[in-house]
Amino acid sequence: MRKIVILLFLFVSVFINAQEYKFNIYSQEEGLPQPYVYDIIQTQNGFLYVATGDGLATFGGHRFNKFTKRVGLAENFCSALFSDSEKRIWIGHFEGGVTCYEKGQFRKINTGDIQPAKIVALAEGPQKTIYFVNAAGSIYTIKNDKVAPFIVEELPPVSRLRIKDNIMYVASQEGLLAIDLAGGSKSYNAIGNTKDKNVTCIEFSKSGEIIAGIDGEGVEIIRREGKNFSSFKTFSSEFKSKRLNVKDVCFKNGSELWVSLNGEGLSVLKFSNNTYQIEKQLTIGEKNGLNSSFVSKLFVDKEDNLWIGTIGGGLSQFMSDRFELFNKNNLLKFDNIISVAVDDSNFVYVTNESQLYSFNPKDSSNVLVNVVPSNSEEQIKCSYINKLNNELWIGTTSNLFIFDIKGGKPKLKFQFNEFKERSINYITKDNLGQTLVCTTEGLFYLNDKNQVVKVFNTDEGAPHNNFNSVFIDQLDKYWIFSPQTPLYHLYNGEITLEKDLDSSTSFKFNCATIDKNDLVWFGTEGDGVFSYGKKRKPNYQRFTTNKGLSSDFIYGIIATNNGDIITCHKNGISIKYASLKTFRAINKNSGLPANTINSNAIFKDKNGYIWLGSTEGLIKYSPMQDKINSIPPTLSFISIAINDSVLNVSDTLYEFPYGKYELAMEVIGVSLSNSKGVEYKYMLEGLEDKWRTSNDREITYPGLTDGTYRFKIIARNADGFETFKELSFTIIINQPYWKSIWFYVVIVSVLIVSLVLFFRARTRKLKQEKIRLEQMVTEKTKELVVEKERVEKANELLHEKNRDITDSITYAKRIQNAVLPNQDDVLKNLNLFVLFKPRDIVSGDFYWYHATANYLYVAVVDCTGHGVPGAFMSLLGSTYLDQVMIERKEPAPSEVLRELDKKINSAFKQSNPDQKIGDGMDMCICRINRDKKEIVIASANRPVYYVRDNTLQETKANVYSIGGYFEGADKAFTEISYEIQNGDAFYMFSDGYGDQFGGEKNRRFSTKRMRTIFTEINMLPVNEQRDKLDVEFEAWRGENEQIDDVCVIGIKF
Amino acid sequence: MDKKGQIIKKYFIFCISKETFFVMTKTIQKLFFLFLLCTGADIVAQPFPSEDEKIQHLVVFGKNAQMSYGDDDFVQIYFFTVPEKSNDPFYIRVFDPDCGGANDEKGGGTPFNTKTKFSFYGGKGAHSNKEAQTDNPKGNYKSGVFITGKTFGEDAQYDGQWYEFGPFNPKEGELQPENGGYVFKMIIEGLDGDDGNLYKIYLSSQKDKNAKVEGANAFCYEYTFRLSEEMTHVSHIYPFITADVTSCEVSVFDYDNAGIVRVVSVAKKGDMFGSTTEGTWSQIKFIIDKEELNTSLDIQFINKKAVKNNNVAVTIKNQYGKLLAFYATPIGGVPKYKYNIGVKPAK
Repeated sequence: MRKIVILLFLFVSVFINAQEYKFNIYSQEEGLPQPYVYDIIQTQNGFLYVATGDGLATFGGHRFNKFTKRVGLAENFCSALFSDSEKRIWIGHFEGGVTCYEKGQFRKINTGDIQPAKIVALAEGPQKTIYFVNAAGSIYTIKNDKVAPFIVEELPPVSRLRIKDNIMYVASQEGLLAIDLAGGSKSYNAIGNTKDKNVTCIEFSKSGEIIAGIDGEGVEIIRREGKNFSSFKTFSSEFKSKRLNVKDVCFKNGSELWVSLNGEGLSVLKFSNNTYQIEKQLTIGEKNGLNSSFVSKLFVDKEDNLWIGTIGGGLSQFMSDRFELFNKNNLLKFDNIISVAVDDSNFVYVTNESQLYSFNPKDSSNVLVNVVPSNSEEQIKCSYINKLNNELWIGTTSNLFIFDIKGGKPKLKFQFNEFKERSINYITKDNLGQTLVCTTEGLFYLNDKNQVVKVFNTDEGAPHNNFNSVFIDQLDKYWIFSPQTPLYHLYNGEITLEKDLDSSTSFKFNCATIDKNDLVWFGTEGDGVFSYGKKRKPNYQRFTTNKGLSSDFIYGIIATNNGDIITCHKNGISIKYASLKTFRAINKNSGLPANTINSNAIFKDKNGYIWLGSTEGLIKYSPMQDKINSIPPTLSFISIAINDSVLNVSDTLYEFPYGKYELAMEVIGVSLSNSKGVEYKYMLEGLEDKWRTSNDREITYPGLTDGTYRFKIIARNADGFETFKELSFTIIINQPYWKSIWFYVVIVSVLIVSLVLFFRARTRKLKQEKIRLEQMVTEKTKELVVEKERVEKANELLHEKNRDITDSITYAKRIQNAVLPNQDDVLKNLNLFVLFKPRDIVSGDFYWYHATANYLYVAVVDCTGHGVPGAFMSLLGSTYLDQVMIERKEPAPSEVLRELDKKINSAFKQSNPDQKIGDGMDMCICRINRDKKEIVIASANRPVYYVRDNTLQETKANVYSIGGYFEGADKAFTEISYEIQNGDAFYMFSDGYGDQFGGEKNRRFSTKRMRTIFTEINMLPVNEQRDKLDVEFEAWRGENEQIDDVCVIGIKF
Repeated sequence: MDKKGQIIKKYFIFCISKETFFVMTKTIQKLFFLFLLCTGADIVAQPFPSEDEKIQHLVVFGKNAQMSYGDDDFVQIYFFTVPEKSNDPFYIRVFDPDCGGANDEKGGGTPFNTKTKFSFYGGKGAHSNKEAQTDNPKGNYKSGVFITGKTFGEDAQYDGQWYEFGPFNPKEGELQPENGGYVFKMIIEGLDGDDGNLYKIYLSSQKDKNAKVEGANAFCYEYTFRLSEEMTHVSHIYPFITADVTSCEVSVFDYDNAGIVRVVSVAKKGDMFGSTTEGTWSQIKFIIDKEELNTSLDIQFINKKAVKNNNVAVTIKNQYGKLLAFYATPIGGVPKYKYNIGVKPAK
């Protein structure tokens, strides 16, 4: 049994500290020239213009730009602003000066000698006349930059001036004065009940009422019917202000009247739609977030953002009050909210780990109850409100309690014995009125008498005994969420695994909710959100961080009455607005008071407010205050520069000479609701054909060369709404002159002309050259004719001489032929052939034949030289051989050679060393004795081949030639004797055959080939052998000249 | 300024002998004045009248009042200076700005019928315009830039209460570094009626209470205030004697022979002057010693009898008839007569 449950009731009334509101504060640190703000306007390009005591500031959501006298302002101190229908900005100054900003230029308006006084307002009236008024009550007009008094007399001190429907409204210390500008009258009357009251500000409602802020009294609503004005309503005590020093007033959301109370901050009256029935009143001061309680100017921009200009506190942007935070600083006793529930009396019940705290935000009552001892390990895990019985059920890690919460004062009513030592995860009620208690040991069904009637656990077929939570849909399906368990539901006691979803996936489902379209939304642990529609195809749609979720881990999910889905995470919440297709992540940076939302600490009350338990307090979310920003950003170029040269951004076409350029630009899509969330989509046509997307406002394209480029860009705000029209400009970089047509034409023309001129010049030159050459040719021809005649004469002479020589040689040949043996005689005695081919007419080679009684002598002689000298030698040699045969009887061949050598030496006096005549002859000689079948061979420097049985053998020659100078011993000619056999063939030859050049490689025929050919032809008849040798020789020689005389003798036995 | 700083300042003043002072160039003298202005301002706040003056209220009458009530022109002009470097908003708080109730003096009519207009000016010419430095508010004394204003009649909600003008941006003033920074002007006019509006002004850094603005001061050229009814009560006002002064003429309007006027300075032990008559101006002339230059005088109004509703207007002019300013916080501190001025050379 539990030792003790201490119930400590503390019923105290405390002053309700107002809730915390969030503001974006801009001061000098953020670039505001001075923290004194006197006026705020928004221009058509979306920029805020802020009048400060030290210059004019513009703001597009990122940084402030400051403008002072240096750029043309009449004074640095700016006290009033106005944007007219001509897009001009009018700036009123503290000492009475006026500046006009038009087309990017500031210009001072000459105000002449008017009494210096702080200009408090400017406005535009009929015929585009600008009116301005100073604090001293003087009104002036500006027409064509000329300043003139509008009313000569001085009005009471004035705070504001507005013009609407041709009525000028002047907020003065003597009332709200109305002047009918259309009527031309300058008379004025205090309207409504404002007479003699210090009216400090003017605002118009959407339905046309005039709102007058009255110092010390509050706000008066004045209605106009034609020229009649009547006071409709006055708000005074409703503002909960001590002094009611109304400084400014404005409408926000069309139904919220925001009033600046000097020194007391802001008071807000929220009306029911289209009525002035107060639904809610808020007081916002320095204690709950406002930077300064001295608000000089309230301004609502076109996105419905409220901007607050203060005296000394800079500029503030009011962030949506969709979130309220309750924590220890105001209404709560603790910050870590484990569970939350709200009854129909607007009592809020929150718990931390051990305590239950109830409070009513409206009437300041509160009660703190210790549910479990603070030093125990037991911790509160969940709560459930049973509105029918005024009960609050609280589940802990080991108990289940029921508290009576009648009147918002929780009292312990019942403690279950069945749930002792059981951890309670979740409590809910089904459509049959049964209470379902999810525990770590099963799902318990309790009847209306709080008796356990059923337990559903693994024994009953449940996949898991640990029930984290259960969700009952409109079809009475119990969707059950257990750890590590597939999604399944219970219906009529049957367990069904969800088949529409891929059951093989390991999604971990945590929680679920149902929206107004009957779609069931499941939150998972790590897998995002699934929306389930039975009749929808596909049944499931999945949302993850890719579709805007702040995190894929969902710790709670709920649908608002609008159909929006809210998911809770450790890093904030995500909201899927019904009209959008994706979630929007919301965290501290975007207005959420706390980031970490506790698991399942989420509750929707009867009014549709969503309550979120966080580690930093309780958050109340008002879906009704949360609006999607459907106004797209106002897109404009801040700067366009090409190669660091700044261009006029108002131009749409830029043209540059040929070159290489870097295009750099800064753009801005002004969306003051969330300036950092603006995204840009752009493309430079001519360079790329796909859109780029970026949050970067600085865009650069380097290296642009000749071509036509069109840059176009659109912007989309943080909620995905794009600008309707793209912003664009065209940039033309001209072609280089060498790429232009005219250049081609010129070049071609120049080429043609040049060619023509060149050819003309060439022709002319050629003609001149031709003439010169013709002259030269004529001269030379004459010379040649003369020379020709001379050469012809010489030729004739030469020809005659040649013919004489040839005739002589031809005759010499006859002589030589006569000396050579008669082949017929030889053939009678020997079967031989003679291949005799003199190189010239006469030959240096000769063959010789001599027959004796017993012998036949045959010799082949190769005399030194050829032609005529050779012929002489051959005649000499032939003669000496015949002489030797006469002188010697049948001499041996060696003797023939020796004798011949002597005679030659003798004839050429070769024994005289002084003569040293080298002429002589090589020869081979054989002596054939047919009877003895003997052949004796001697040779002087010439080999003799003989072929027997197709085998060629060489008879080595003596190394001496016949004749010629020879130093040393006597020439000892040797001889070789062979016995003749039938078929033997002997070949004697001069060197002319073997030395002949020819063949494919122009080489000598060589003795090697001669041996081959002799081997091949030795069996042939001698005539055929000769022809074969001749054919072979000629074929080898080809076109080459014969280099030497040729003489071959073949003897076949 | 802390205690140590005050000691150093007093020693510094003491060390400047009259001989030394007269050899200063005019520029140095101006710088010296500026030094005194800046350092002196730190020691007290900026009420008008100040605590040192022992004056309960300033006063202005409706323009239909008799001058014998003590207001010679029904217009009071007060100047306020805020240091040039100050960037914080400030307020002008007016105590009991309406004319009616216990604090104010009812004229001949019944009931209270006077309206008092408070107009606050800054910008160029607010003080530099010579017509603003006047004891005879005619011409362009409303020079400068009108910032805000309010007219009070009889209004119980302001009776005995403080009313705040502001907050104001220091940059709305006329920049006059020689006068201590940005200068503002408050003109209080008694409009229709014949009652006397008794009030006090405080230059405050906070809206809902009197909190000094560091380095700020307040001054005027004609001081119109209510004297105490107590016997022997001494009221003080502190004109600053500039370097070009050789003699002074203090004019007192409607003193009603209530007492005597006594002048104390670093060189005057307490010169006594006779009392003045009702509804007229009376003049008191005296010579200014060299050692009194660039110091404040302490002009004391010593009651010799109890006179009810005794309002006076006081001006002080130099030998050329140029008005000298009264400072709520006496420049250089409250003057004390010095028996020995100068430092003896060391032996």
